[in-house]
Amino acid sequence: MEGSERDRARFDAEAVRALAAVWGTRIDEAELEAVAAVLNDMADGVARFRELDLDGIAPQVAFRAEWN
Amino acid sequence: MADAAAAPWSMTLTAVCAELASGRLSAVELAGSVLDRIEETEPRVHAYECVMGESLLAEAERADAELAESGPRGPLHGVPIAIKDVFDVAGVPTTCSSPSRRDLVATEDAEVVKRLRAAGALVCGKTVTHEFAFGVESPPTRSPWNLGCIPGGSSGGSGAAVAVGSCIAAIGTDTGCSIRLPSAICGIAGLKPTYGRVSNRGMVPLSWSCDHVGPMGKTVEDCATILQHTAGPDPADPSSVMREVPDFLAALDRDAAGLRIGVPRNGFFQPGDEEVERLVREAIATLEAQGAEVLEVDVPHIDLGLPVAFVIALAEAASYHRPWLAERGGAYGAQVRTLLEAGSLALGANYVDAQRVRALIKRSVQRTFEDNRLDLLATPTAAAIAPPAGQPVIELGDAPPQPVMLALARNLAPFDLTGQPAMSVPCGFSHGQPVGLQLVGRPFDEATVLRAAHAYEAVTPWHREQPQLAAPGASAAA
Repeated sequence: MEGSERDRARFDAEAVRALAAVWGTRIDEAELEAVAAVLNDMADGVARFRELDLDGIAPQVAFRAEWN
Repeated sequence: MADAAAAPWSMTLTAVCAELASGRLSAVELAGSVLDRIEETEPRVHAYECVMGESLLAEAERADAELAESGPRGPLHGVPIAIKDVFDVAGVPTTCSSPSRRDLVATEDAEVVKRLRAAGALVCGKTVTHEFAFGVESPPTRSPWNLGCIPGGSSGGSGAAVAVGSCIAAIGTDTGCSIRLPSAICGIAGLKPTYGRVSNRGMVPLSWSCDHVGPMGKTVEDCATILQHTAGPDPADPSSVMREVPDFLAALDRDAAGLRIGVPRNGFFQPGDEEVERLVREAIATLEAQGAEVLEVDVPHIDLGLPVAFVIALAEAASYHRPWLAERGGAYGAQVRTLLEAGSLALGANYVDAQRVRALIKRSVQRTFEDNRLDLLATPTAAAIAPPAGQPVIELGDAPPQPVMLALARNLAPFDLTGQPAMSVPCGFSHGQPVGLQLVGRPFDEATVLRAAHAYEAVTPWHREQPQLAAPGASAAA
């Protein structure tokens, strides 16, 4: 599933329903499409993260703002 | 100092403090003036979730008695401050402007409220937030400059209340834009301090790693005063930073001479409103005329700020709200519930990737500051003026239409990720609506942000403009 945006599948109501069932998340039928749209926006962002070279970059363990 | 004949509600916090200290104004008179102003403006602006009129008057009477008997409790003695309704204030519900929380009455003040009270301040009410601070529209509050437009958010009620004088100053929170955006749209000053500078204990979180607490005021000096009395270590708050609090007001004595100010070439001005860009560049030229050194800079990876903030906020908010959604999800607004449900389906690896890109952005901004020996970055607070309420997208230049939240938060969310202090000050009007200049400083250097903002404010008239509560289509600066 990784790769450019045009190679990726998109979330739809059925995919959201399936994912929600696995995680035990209760989502109203009427909101499945809206949730899919948000997940697609998120997936677009994540696809951009994967174009980056993050080698050697760890997530922030503490959320301090100091610059050492 | 404000005009001695001015109504108390219209005065700055600095002026009000001087009037109270001199005895020319009593706390009861001031509270009454603010309550009258609330009654006058609320039917049109809807800034408050809950007005605490009775308790304000009772506290004001006690403040006057205390002043006569033993002197002021602190520098804010008798000053009514509005609190965004995500903070606990003992005895009233912390609703987060959500129907799901109308019955949740706080039993203790949030830390920031405790500190304000310790300095002598009084609480005049709880202001509207976009539901759970997760959005920029803040219904039912409207922009005092155009009642058909949004006030920005999520601290939209605080912004509108300060702008119309229905409080003397206010407290907001900023996770992706939420102090600076409503400050810009409502034509006031608002400061997001460094992450951890002000305790967020007693606040309903949106995103633990991005939530900031800060002041919103009529002037930069008002914000500095509020920050002075709310900042500082809170050992009971895991995000609080154990740092001494400098004298923020002392920094205001100096102009902008000698400051190095970076103006990003990429990502902040365009796509955007041409008039907003012109006004912000004029504001930067004003600082340059005072002796600041202005240079163009690149800020690599800054365009990733929004998608990173989106993933982090969705995932963290979904984690916080999971038990509440299970119990009370039917009482959440559909917009926020949808976001939270989507966040609950995000992959853990996506969240960690977002935190790694956040570290990349932070490193990139740090290098931009260090390589160019910058004191500040200067940008538009938002690249557009407030849109009409209910409008789903904003069109900026030739770019595809963007959802309102993403378009308005673009220039702001990156600095919630880096944790740097950032402030919005009014810098003019476009189509009758205020425009904000954003100044971003080094971590824990709020003093320089305040200094530059105050230096700009001192030579410009924008902060003195007062909204006329114009009907839709008739917005105009006074």
